Amino acid sequence: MVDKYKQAFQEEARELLAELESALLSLDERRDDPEIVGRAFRALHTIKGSGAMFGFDDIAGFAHNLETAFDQLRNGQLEATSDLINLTLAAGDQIKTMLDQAAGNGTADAARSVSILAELRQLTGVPHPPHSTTPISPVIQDDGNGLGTWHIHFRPGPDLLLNGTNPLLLLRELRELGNLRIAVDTGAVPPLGELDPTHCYLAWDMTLTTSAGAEAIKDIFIFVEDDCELTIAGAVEERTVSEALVERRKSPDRRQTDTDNTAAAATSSIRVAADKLDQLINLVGELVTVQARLSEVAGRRDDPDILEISESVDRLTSALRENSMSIRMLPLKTNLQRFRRLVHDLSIELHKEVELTVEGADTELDKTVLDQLSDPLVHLIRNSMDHGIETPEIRRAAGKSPSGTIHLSARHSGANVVIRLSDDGRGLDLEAVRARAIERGLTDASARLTEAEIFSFIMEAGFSTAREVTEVSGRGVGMDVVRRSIEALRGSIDIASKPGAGLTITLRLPLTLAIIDGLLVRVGDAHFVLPLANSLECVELTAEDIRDAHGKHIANVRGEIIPYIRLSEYFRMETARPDREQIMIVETEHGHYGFVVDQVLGDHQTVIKNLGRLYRNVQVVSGATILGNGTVALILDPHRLVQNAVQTLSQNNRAPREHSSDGRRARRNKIVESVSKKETRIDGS
Amino acid sequence: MPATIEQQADHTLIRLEGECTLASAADLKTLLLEALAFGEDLRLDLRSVQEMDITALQLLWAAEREANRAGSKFAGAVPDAIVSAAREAGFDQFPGMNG
Repeated sequence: MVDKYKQAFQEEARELLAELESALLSLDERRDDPEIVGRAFRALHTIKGSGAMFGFDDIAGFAHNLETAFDQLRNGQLEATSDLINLTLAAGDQIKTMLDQAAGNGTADAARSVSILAELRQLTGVPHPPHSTTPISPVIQDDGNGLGTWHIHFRPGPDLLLNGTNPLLLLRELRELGNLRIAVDTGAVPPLGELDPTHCYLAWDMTLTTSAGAEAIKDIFIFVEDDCELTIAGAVEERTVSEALVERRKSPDRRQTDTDNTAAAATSSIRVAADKLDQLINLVGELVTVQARLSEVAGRRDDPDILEISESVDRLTSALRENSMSIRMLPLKTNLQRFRRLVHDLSIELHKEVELTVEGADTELDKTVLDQLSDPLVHLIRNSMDHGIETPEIRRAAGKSPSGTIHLSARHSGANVVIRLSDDGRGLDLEAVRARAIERGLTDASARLTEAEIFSFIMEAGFSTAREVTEVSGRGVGMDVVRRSIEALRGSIDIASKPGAGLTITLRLPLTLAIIDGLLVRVGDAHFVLPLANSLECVELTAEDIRDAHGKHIANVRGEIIPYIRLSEYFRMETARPDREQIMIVETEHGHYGFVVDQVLGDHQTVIKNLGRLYRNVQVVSGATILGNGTVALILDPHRLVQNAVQTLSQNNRAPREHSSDGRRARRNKIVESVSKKETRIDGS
Repeated sequence: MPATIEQQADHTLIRLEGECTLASAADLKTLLLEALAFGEDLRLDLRSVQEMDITALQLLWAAEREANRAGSKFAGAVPDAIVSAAREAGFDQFPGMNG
């Protein structure tokens, strides 16, 4: 068989394993929900079925045994115990390694399969006969006349007849496809007295020689697929395999899981390689840049015809951009699975009771961001489980509920996503962190630092306050890796903690790494872009306002007092103050703030370019973009900008031009200046 | 499914008519159990049967197995259509199939 189809099976099986895992973890919370048992059963059933079909006999056999257990569970003969759930989770992992082995990555430990099955037998109390998914080995090849030979094993479920299916008609339809040899298996028919006349106890083994493909055979069984045991094996033609896969997607098997969004999405979606999407985004990015030039030229020419075309192109580009960006957006819950499993496994390993609660799982993020976010989050959850949440005994002694909680929440905030991970564990010890920071020479004892600044030390390389190294975390690596990954995404991390009451880590990430809607502003002859999503309104800053505020940077906007930051001052740009200035009012997490600029030029589709490694630590700038005339504009991060300004004010006792204790920030300002090609005095040095 | 059981001199005659389907499967089971209870050879008359589904085939097959185990014969006047239906369903042994 061609690798392509094995690949398709691999992908499908991995999806199904994810579905299985999700079902198992839900089952762990709601032990007697038949819906969830059904989900797990169907996932196993489909893995078994397609595994056998594509020649993954070991996987099919393994899945078959698990399926049997879940069948018992479904019929109430077996109880969903933690042991069974954990064992099945382990079995799912084993299938994954078997898939990896089939794909040429590593080897699966066959002994492990055997031991899992042995444990399973102990749990179910039923000795499983060796699996019989492929009762007749697929041997016969295409004989050149387009005829293939298929071995079909069909055992109707007990309720098949009551559901209105006539198995004789199914057999007749099979016969119409070609030459059918058939044998009935009456082994399961009980003595007449005990026989339920509405049950079908018979099973059939058939050999069909036909020119029809697998899809035609599967079609016949399409309405009973979920209510019977069915194996189709044989000389498989490539064409038919792919079609069969498509069929499988449409099969009732999947339709029944309609309540599950991921499965529903699978029925109406196509797979596209991620790098094709990246190419698309790159092209759109180029288009946006060219479009900016077109607008610029059209504006200069003042030709109504060109202006009209330019505006149409602008609209289309913007629609195209939004569309192609949305293709890459995935909800956070795509990754949630992994976190739930992690919490489940670690709870067992660490003998702690931990519950993961999630809020805003539907919050969408760019796929690239989401992918790169996964590892840092896993690390943070590990940290919480290991160092944060205490053992049940300690928790009880501290008057807390023995079961700890990790809460993961996500929400949009302008052009950003805010992801918050909080636990109700022991929290961070502020003094311990400070002491350790002084010990490591990161700060000196006399420094006046805010809580957030002290906590940020734990993200320095090699910094750890953990007293012991455990298997899970606490080797002192980690937080610095988390910080680097988040910064690579142009995100930021804030840590807040109450000793004894828990730790909250807030990650702020840009929604996308590629293109945003921005507002182009001018200060002197430098241009800046503010994310449009954060911008509220633009008002004029009059000389009157400045006089009324008595030198304070405050504006009165329709009765609301808005503090403002004059960008030319903040960036130490020595430009003449124009007669009329404008305040861009932006929404940040600290409330509404104004940025005073010389002129607001208008909206601007902004292709975000990274500033390069040199400028990695420049927090107030989230990137740069190329304008229509070829010059560079810096993209500002309003949230960081306000945060920095507030910190500068509070730290230096409302004297922002005085010495700053934070050397890094001074460096940052210098970089902003050099980027914007301004020669000015460097802050505080 | 009109059905009759007649006790004849050396055998019990079971005559089925009309449609032997899921709807009448429970009745057919009772009838066959009754007939087997006589402990005599069985003779099956299916000549007036118009339709027979898998439930009836399954019951008749089970009844024949029971009769054979008890050492009784289970012969039948079974129209070709039903014999071939049984063959098509993969049965290689069925009342009336071997004479």
